Order: sequence, then structure tokens, then C-alpha cells
Amino acid sequence: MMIVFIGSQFLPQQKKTFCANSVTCIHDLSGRPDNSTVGFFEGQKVFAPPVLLADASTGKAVLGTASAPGTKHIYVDLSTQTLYAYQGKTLVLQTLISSGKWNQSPDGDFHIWIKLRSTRMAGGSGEDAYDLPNVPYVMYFYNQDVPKSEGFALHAAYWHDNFGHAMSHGCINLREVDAKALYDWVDPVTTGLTTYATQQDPGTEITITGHAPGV
Amino acid sequence: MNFVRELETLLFIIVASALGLFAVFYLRQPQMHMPTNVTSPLPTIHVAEPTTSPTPGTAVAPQTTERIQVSPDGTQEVVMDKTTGTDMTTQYTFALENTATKVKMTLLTTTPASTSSYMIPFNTFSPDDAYVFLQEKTTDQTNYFVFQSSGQTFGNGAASINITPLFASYAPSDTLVAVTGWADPTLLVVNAKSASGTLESFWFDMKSLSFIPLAHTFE
Repeated sequence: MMIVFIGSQFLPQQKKTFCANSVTCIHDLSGRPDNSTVGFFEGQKVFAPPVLLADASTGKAVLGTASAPGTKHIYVDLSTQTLYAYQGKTLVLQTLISSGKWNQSPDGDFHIWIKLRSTRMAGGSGEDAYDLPNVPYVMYFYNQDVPKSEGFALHAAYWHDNFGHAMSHGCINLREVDAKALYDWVDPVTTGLTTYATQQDPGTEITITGHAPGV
Repeated sequence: MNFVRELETLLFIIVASALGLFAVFYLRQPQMHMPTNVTSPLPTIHVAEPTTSPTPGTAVAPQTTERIQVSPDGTQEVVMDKTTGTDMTTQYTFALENTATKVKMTLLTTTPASTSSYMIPFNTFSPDDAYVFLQEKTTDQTNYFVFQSSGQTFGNGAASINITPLFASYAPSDTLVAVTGWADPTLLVVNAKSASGTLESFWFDMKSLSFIPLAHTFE
């Protein structure tokens, strides 16, 4: 028995897969709303705003100016908790965000790989545990160092309004009004509750720099 | 021959001066700092603040400046009208406006001392739009006033609650740094510095009108 136990220590250890939302991760990519579940965050009950599918928009949307040419690109500065959306050289949106407090948001260059009209996000433990149904306007991103399975995203946050300060478990939180505007603007063009980036319609690039204060 | 030499000298001086001016101009250009770990640089945004300068000795017409902050769900706005009178006093009027119906409800009208100014914080709305908070800067302190979006008064009959004196009573040895926003629909995030200079964070609970110290800080 001792030999087996000692021997097992030399076996390759199974790497624990990290996920920004440790319970739900990216298990449900249907984008379907759940208008009946009550959530919780920071030990408080949270009532998610209902997602009405009749409001679902598809197709291209214009953010800022109707005639801005050029490639879309999102910049997130973690040091100032600010997001900038550009089309070419035209700034089309500038707003405050909340990045990761309990897990650091990653930095680097990323691309959006999928958009979900809404999804449930749950994770944490103890007094940090949270369960948030109907998180709206979710834009998951990845790169070669931060795989899709880690579930980092830009998305709306309806449970707090403390933008400009790190609040999340790694994702980039936005006001709902800003997240909706971005969601409708970024590529891939929205086709339904779930929209995958493709070779023909690749996801918008996101560049994240800096370090969140106090994290 | 002398004339040619003089011409050459003059040409040399002109060219050297031009090069010198070019070098001075080039060295004064701001240098680009590229982040080393990303491929795309973060652009610099310059936001111009509108300014007005009254000409001394002439009558100043009342001026109105409007600032708006939208709720996170986009359904309401806090609108600030700032009117500077001919006597140089400034009247502030804050109203809640429904973005769909355009129905407006006045929250506050005030003419503070000339050394005070008001602003609408970015995170003014609670997540469920039930509350808004406004910020007043005076020479001594910054006040944070919370209003009910319904226009209703609080239990003591007051139209608003000022967080600043409440915090001073709760933690007299601490210095209030800022009220930054809402941790949830009824919890304001309050940052302060202890007497030893350590940053501390609290929640102010709108239900119990009390402060809750936190184990972590929200910088």
C-alpha cells in the first residue's frame, strides 16, 4: 500500500481546469433566458431583470457614427477600469467597467468567439459564492494563452453599479446599456440567441492592458 | 572669390539654422510608449471640457449647462441643469427623466455657496434604479446625498440622506475618501482611510441606514 501511495505521487497530476465562473463555466451556450430563478451575490438576493425574447435584435448595429469606416477594436485599460471601442480611428464608445477582483482579468490580445443573449453565471465559495441567472449580452473571448474553456467574457452586470472598480471574478462587467450597445456592434453579427464567430465573420479583437488597482 | 565664399558661408548658416530648428521641433514631439506585452497600442483620448469666460466689465447672461447620467438599464436619466445668474451665483436643479416617456420629476433645486459644486457620479443609480446619489464638493468635505427615485421621503421625513456626517459619527477617527457606487440594490460602497492611513471599505445599508465594515476593499 505504501509503495502504491508513494508511487502515485510521481504520476502526472491532473491539471485542475480554471474557469472564471467556477460552477457554470461555459456549460450552457444556448443563450436561453431563465426568468424564474432568483440569484444571489455578496450574500444578498438578486432579482435578475427578465430577458424578453421579443426584444432580441439581430443583424448589424451601428455604434456612435453611421459612417465610421475601419476595423472594430475594443481596448480595456484595467488600471483606469475604462473601456474604449474604436472603429478605425473613430472612438465610438468610452465607458467605465469592473474587471476581476476575486480572479484577475487576463491581459493581452483576444478575439470574441461567441456571443450569448444571456446565460447563468455561478461560482465562488463561502461568502464569495454567487449565482446570477440571465446575465445579459455576453461576449466570450480567448487567445492562445487563455482558452475558450476558461470562460472570460465582456458582459452586462445587473447586480451592482460600482463601475470603475474591480468587482468581478475575472470577466469584464459593463452597465447593461453599454453592454447591449457593444453586443449589437461587435462581430460576429448577431444571428440569434447564440452567435458563433466564423472564418467569414470573425470576432472583434479585444486588447486588455494594465493592472486593476488593489487586486 | 570673396563674394562666393561669403555666399557659401551664408548658405551654410541658413542650412544649419534650418536643421537646428528641425531638431528642436522633433525633440519636443511626445514619444510613443508601446505596451510591451500586447501588439496594439492603447490610443490616447483627449476630452475637451467646455469653458466659458465672462469678459470683465460686461453684463453676464444666465448660462445653462446640462449634464446627464443614464441608468444602467437605460430607462431613466438624472439630468442636471446648472444656471449661473448675473450675480454669479449658481443654481442647480436635478431631475429624473424617463427616457421613453420624457416625464421629468425634480429631485433637488439648490443654490449653494460659490465655493461648492455639485456633480452626478457615474454610478449614481442603484442597480434597480430605486435610488440615486449626488455629490457636492465644498471647501471642507464632499457630501453624498441619496434620494429615492420615486421622490418619496425617508422615514424621518427628509428628502435625502447625507452619508458624510453619518460616517463621521460612525467612525470619527476615519477619513471618508469616496462613495463610489452600489454593491447591490441597497448597499453603497464607502471607501475611507483609517487614522493610520490604511484603506478600508464599508457598505452603507439603505434599509437599516447603518455601516457594515468589510474584510476586503474596493479600490
